Parts: sequence; C-alpha cells; structure tokens
Amino acid sequence: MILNKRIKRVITLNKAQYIGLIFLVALSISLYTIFSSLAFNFNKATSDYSRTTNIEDAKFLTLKDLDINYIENTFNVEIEKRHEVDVSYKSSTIRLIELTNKINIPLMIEGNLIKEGEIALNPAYAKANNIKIGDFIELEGFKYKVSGFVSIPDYIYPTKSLSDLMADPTKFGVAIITSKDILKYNNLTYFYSIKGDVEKVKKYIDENYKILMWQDIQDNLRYVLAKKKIEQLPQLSVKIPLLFFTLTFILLFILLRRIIKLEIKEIGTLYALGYTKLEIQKHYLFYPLIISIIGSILATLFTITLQKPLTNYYVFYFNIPVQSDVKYKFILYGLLESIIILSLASYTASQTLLKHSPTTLLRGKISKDRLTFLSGLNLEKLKFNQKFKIRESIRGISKILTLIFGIFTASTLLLVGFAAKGSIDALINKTIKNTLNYKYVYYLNQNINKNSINQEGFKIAYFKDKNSNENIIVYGLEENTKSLKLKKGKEEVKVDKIYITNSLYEKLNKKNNIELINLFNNQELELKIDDVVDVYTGNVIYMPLEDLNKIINEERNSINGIFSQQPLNIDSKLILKYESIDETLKSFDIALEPVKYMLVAMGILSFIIALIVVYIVTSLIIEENKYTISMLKVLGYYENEINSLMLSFMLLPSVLGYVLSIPFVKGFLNSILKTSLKDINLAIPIEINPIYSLFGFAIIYTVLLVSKYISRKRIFKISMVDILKLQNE
Amino acid sequence: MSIQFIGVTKEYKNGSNIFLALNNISFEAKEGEIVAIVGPSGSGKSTLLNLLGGLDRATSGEIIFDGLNLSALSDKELTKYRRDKVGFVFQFYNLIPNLTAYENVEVAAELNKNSLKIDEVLEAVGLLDKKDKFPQELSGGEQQRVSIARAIVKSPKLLLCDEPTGALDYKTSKEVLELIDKINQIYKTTIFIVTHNTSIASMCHRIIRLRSGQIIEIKENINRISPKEVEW
Repeated sequence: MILNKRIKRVITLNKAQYIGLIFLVALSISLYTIFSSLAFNFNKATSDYSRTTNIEDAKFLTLKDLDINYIENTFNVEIEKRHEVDVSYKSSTIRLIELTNKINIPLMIEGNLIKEGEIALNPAYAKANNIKIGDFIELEGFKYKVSGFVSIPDYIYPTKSLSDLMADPTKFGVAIITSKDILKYNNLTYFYSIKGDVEKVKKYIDENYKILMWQDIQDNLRYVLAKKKIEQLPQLSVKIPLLFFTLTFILLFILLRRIIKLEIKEIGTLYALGYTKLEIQKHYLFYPLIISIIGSILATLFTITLQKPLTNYYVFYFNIPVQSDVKYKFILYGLLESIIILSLASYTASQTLLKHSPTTLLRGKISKDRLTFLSGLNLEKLKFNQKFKIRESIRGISKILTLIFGIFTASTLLLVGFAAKGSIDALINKTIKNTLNYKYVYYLNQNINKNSINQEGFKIAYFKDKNSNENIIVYGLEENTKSLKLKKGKEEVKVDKIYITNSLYEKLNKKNNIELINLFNNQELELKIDDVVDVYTGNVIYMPLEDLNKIINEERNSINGIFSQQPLNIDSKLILKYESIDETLKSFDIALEPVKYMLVAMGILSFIIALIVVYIVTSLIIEENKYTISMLKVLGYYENEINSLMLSFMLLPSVLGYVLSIPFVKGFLNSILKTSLKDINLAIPIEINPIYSLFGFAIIYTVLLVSKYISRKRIFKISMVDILKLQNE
Repeated sequence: MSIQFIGVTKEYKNGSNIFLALNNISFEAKEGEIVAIVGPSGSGKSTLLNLLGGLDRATSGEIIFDGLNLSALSDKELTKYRRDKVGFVFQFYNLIPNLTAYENVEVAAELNKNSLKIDEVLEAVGLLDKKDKFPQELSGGEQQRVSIARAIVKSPKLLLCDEPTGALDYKTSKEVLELIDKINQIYKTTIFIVTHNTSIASMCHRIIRLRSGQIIEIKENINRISPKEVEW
C-alpha cells in the first residue's frame, strides 16, 4: 500500500517521541528478560547443585570412631568422615576442608579441581583478599597453588560461626585441599557427614558410639540461609522488573493512543479519500509493530550485554555455579506483549477517531472545547500566569493523569532502590545501633556466677520450636539491663516479662504460647510470650535471667555470657566466642556494598525513564497546544515565558505522582519481602528515609527542568504564520 | 512616524520551486491612517500584513516602522516589537479556548506595563457584562470584539486586522468596522485592514491594491465614508 510509505516519514518527523517509545519498550523487555533468565538459571543451578554435590542430610560427631562400612551396609546410608582446620592468612582465617568424594562434593565455579599441593577457595574470599588462580599462598608453613574457585555445599554461605548473620569475606573464607595435605596439620577437627534415612541410624549410632553433636542439614544456616536466599532472591528480583514491565506498558498504551490521536487530520483526509476504516486501521497497526520489533531488537542487545555481568554479580554473592544464558523465550513474550498492547492502543485510538465523519476529522478536533464544572472556578484574585496554568491543567485532565502516571512509574523504580537502602539502614540502626548498647560480647563455655564479675552478665540457651522446627535463642537478661535497649515503638521496655523479636513473631505468626525443645537435653517446655519488641533480626526470645535459669534448672545467678564496653581480660579457656559490635557493623557494610551500586544503577535507569516519559508528555502537550503557543508568540511572548506558561503546571502533577509512589512502593515491598525474608531470620522494616525521598524528588525535578530545556527547541520551531493559516473553525 | 516598505520581496521555497508572494513592493503610510490592503486570494495581502507585524521576515528590502528597520531586528527584538507596538485581529478570532473573555484580554495586557484597564477596554467593545464567558459561549461577533479588545489593550501604535469581518454576518461586520473606526479616532492608532471586500476600503484613508504579489494601485481616499455608510 502506497500509504505505508509515509510511516518512515512520520516516524522521522516525530523521531524523538518514537525513539522514546522504543527505548521504553527495550528497557522494560530487557529488564524483564534479564531477571527472568536469571531466575530460570538459578532454579536450574540449585536443583543441579543438590543433585551433583550430594549434600549431607546431617553432620555429627561421636565419642568413638565409627565402623563406617558396617553402618553403611546395615542401614543403607552413606557416611563420610571429613577433616577441617582453621588457619590464619594475613589478618583473616581460612577454614581448610578435606576434599570429599561421596558426600558434600565440592563444585568448581572456576578453574580446575585440586591435586596435591593445590588449593581452591570460595570466590568471595579470594576476591576480597586479592587472590587469583595460579597464585601461590602459604598457610602455616605449607605452600599451595590456587587451582580455582569452589563452592562447598555445607558452606554455600560461608560464615565463620553458625550464629553469624552475615558473611564477611575479608575476614573468613573456606577452601579445599586434598586428604594428604590436610593431615599435615595439627589441631584437626572432624565430622561425619551422613546421607540417607538418618532417623533409624541415629539411634543406633548414639547407643553404640555416643553422639556428642548432631546437626541436621535444616539446622545448618550456612546451607539453609543460602538455599532460601538463592531460591527467593531471584524470584524477588523478577517481581520488581515485572512490576516495572506492567507499569511501562500501561504508560506506553496511554502515550501511543495520544500520539495516534494527533494524526486526526491525516486520518480524516484518508477517510475522505475513500480509504475504508479497516485499511486505515491496518496502516496504523504498523506503528506499534515497528516500535515493538525495534524495541525487542534493542532489548536483545541490552540483555546480551548485561546478562553475564549481572549473573556473575549474583554468583559472587551466592557462591554456586550458574550459567549466564539468555532465555530468548522471555524476549519473545515481551515482544508479543508489546505488539498486543501497543496494537490495542493504536486500534482503539483510530477506532475512536473513525467513529466521526471525515469532515469532523478534517477540522482537527472531534468536539468543540467542552466546559467542565471546574471551568467555572473563580480565579479573579489570582495573577494571570497562575490563572493560565490552572486553566491549562483543568483543560487537560487526561494529560495530567498521563503525567502523574509517568512520574509514578519512574518514581516507583527509583524508590524501590531507595527503600531497599533505607530499610537496610533502618534495620542496622534499629537492631544494632539502637538496640545493642555494648561494644563487646563474650560467650563462655561454662556457667559462672554473675556476682563474680563487675560487668553485666546474661544467659543464652538454645531451643527449637516444636511445631516449626525453627532454632530459637533465648536470652536471660537483667531486668534493668543497660546493654540491650529493647523498644516497643518509642518506649523502652524493662526485661520483667517475656518478649519475642519482630522477625520471629512474623515467622511464627503468634505471640501466645510457644512450645520449645531444649537442644541441650531435649527437655520440652512451654513459654508464654507477653509482647513483641522492635528487633528485626534473629529468632530470639528475651526474658528475665532468673526465670530462664529456673526453667532450664540452672542456678538462679548463673550466666554464660558477658556484655562489656571494653575488651576483657578473661582466661581464654573460658571463652567460646567473642564478638565486637564494630566488626559486626563492618561486616554489614561489606555485605551491603553491592546494594550501593544497584542504587546508582536504578537511579540512572529511573532518571532515563522519567526523562523519556516527561519528554514525550511535554512534546504531546506542545503538539496539542500548537495553536495557543503560536498565538502567544504572535502576541509578543518570549519563548521562556511561553515555556513557563505551558509547562510549569507539570510540577504539581509530578509532585503528586511522586508522593503517590511512596505508599505504593512501601506496600509493594512489604508484601513481597514478608514472604521472601522471613525464612532468613530478617524482618526488614520498610522505610524510606526523608533525605532519600527529597533526593528522589530532586532527581524527578531535574528531569522536569531538563525536559523543559529540551522543549524550548520545539516551541521555537512552531511557526506563527503557518499555524494561523491552518486555524479555521 | 510613518510606515515604509522599500523594495520588499518575500519568497517561499518549496524544494526547487520558488514562489514570489511579494515582488519588490514599495509604499508609505502615515501615522493614524486606516489603510486597506485589497486584492484577490493569493495576491500577497496576508504576507504583507505578516511582514509588517513581525511574524515573518522579508527575503529582501526594508520595512521601516517608527524608526525601526524590521528587516534588521533579531528574533528577540522582533518579539519585543510585537509585544510593545503591534496588535492583531484575525478572521477567526484566535481566542484561547480555555480562557474567559477577560482572561483572553489579560493575556495581552500582561505584556505591557502601560496597558489600558481591561474592564474599560471590554466596556469600550461592549462586552463588560460577558467578561466571564468562555469563547465557546460567545457569538462570532462577540468573539471578534474580544479579539479586538485583546489587540488594543496594550495600546499598540499599529493595529493589523486580517479579514476582520470575513467570518461575520453583515450586521455584525458593520458593528466591528465601527469599533475599528472608533479605536482609530480615540487612540489615533494606525490600522491596516486586509480584506477581499472592496467596499470596506471606502472607509479607509489609503487603499493599496495588490495582484500576484505586486502593487497595482495606491490611492489616497479623499471621499472617505463612515463605517455605517459602507454597503456590500
């Protein structure tokens, strides 16, 4: 059809608008594809990982050495003994783990499997300590060549101690060496790993070999935390691009409808010439098709470029080998959705116009300017430019709604990033800085009397919830403890009752009675919880020290932990573990470093999106108001005055779009984080710091200014003479 | 003060084709005159008006008004010229639809510190009682009166009217012509009226007749009649 020759010309004539639309399509399809591929690849990787590594069902230690062959044959299970030793490297610790070949088989992420004299480390530690494949490192007198980077199944999330919340790769790493190499060290420890029906065999082992320690895989946070994070975070990161994808396509639908409607006179001319409605509509379906196809091609390029680095970023964080293949089916879904939605926009826009006669369409207006009930507003007392802006806003309610929605979409993306940062800051502040009022904490390996020290003591006891099997830590504290500030809202509470942390409350979803099993002696007991305190990490219960001692049948003044403001000079044989708050905060900082980069990326992305949206909306406003702008020029208004009159009204709808996105983002994140984070002992309070909010609006405001600046050119191009000639009734 | 066109040519290029809208025209008009520009469609009447109003630029020649050479002015200076010295009245009124009659006048009054009082101007055009009406609530004649009020509120030295009665019926046209004449008498404004209705020329001091972009006659009208007497 000869008519289709004009498509290229129309697009060239309005290139900025069409480029904007194409970019929006490309960004939204590529984000959707990248994260969907990532989730797909991670899901595949985790199922492959469990299969190929043959992860243990439990880990245990016995008083006497096991007869592995006999037990394996009798109970049809697999058992493997594995040695470990902690060694120092510079100012950090590496846990050397013996290479196994039956259970917990290490998986190489990069490089080759070790031979004698070689070592493979977890990649985050290697990166943090600047160790590369091929390097030589010396560990307590023995030299190793680094053969590659490895993932050890029961150390996917390599924390030094099981109670650590965050891994700190600068301070702690894990590595595998051969059996021959590990046996060269003194102070070796070992565990047995078991795979199979453990319930039957456990009783037998305890009776014959005396179990000293038993840990089911579900209780190993190094595996459980990582597994849940791996399973849930990619899902989480699909939901945000999916939200963005949905919002963008609603926006694209609105924008394309308006752009097609601007073709009213051309559609009228074709109609008058005798083209049928179907022919005209078919012609206008080419525009969405072109936008969708070019958008998808660009999306493919973006995806190919970004898929690998993003996957590597996640792999670094989660420490399992993952393919970085692009799943092209998601691009195809995106393309199809784009074609359907944009074609619908084009079809409905041309359908609306084609309901009218050619003569009506040729006039360039479907109806005369209608007066709304708002037109009757008494604006007499206002200055002229205020009146003009209000009248302009009243006239174009639909364009205002488009602008509000556009800013809302961009702000949503921006604020998701800010909310993530703000919430983590709040988590750190509320849980660590505002709750923990001590500098050091010492965990002791035996009870002492609280009156024998001049520091504040506490009792820590380990339980599990009978129903959910969740591990729960119970702290016995002094009623007027100065070391922990437990708060409920703004009010500080005394430890005269039994309190539960917010994260545990959200996970168990109850605060009445909890049935607990003492992990030390399997004794069952029931605790009546009185209230919830604002602590967002950990499965923890706080109760009075004497009450805890009473229920676990220990001496009323006994303690097994000490809070302190300075390092204590205690017999090292007494210390089980010691923590410094500064180091905990530092490990948070390290763990959250990547979030900062994500924030910058999201900020740039939302700036681009907001700019595209605002530019398209402003160019539509200019296009739809050509006549008024031309008239203002004739009257002698300068371009900046016209710019201000025509575009300044955008500020209020933009503020509104931005403000509306705040509760939306909070609600959205709350709903997805509640389901995603409760399994990893975190309950993040969703907060957007007011400073971030202001900064976010500053970005949106900058977008408005930039867009206004660019629009000057369009206003400048509007000819006074041509428009006046075109003007008719 | 006088208005001078000296050898003014205006070309429009369309690809390799050049269309001569005005071809080397020269004339002079005096301050306070009503000048009629008459001629058939395509003779260059509106082009002449657009050049004089600073809406467009001549390809060559000079246009002198109030000591200013319009051809030498920058875009910004040309805007200032329109802002301070020129008022426009169009055939189709060109009112801004979402502003009331009062606000449509105010849009021009805003531009000049020495603007006349809007209420007084609306009263002068007989529309004070309809000042809160929107254009679509007014008749064609009333809209043209608002358009005239908008043109004169900033007391321009030059009022340019492009087919001011072209869209109006006989009776309303005569009322509008009377209003234009009244403005000329009260404010001593120089007025150019572009029209294809030769009868209107009889109320003007000077008549310039155009054909195919050239002046074929310039006539001083010594037998000027009042707008009431104009018949067609």
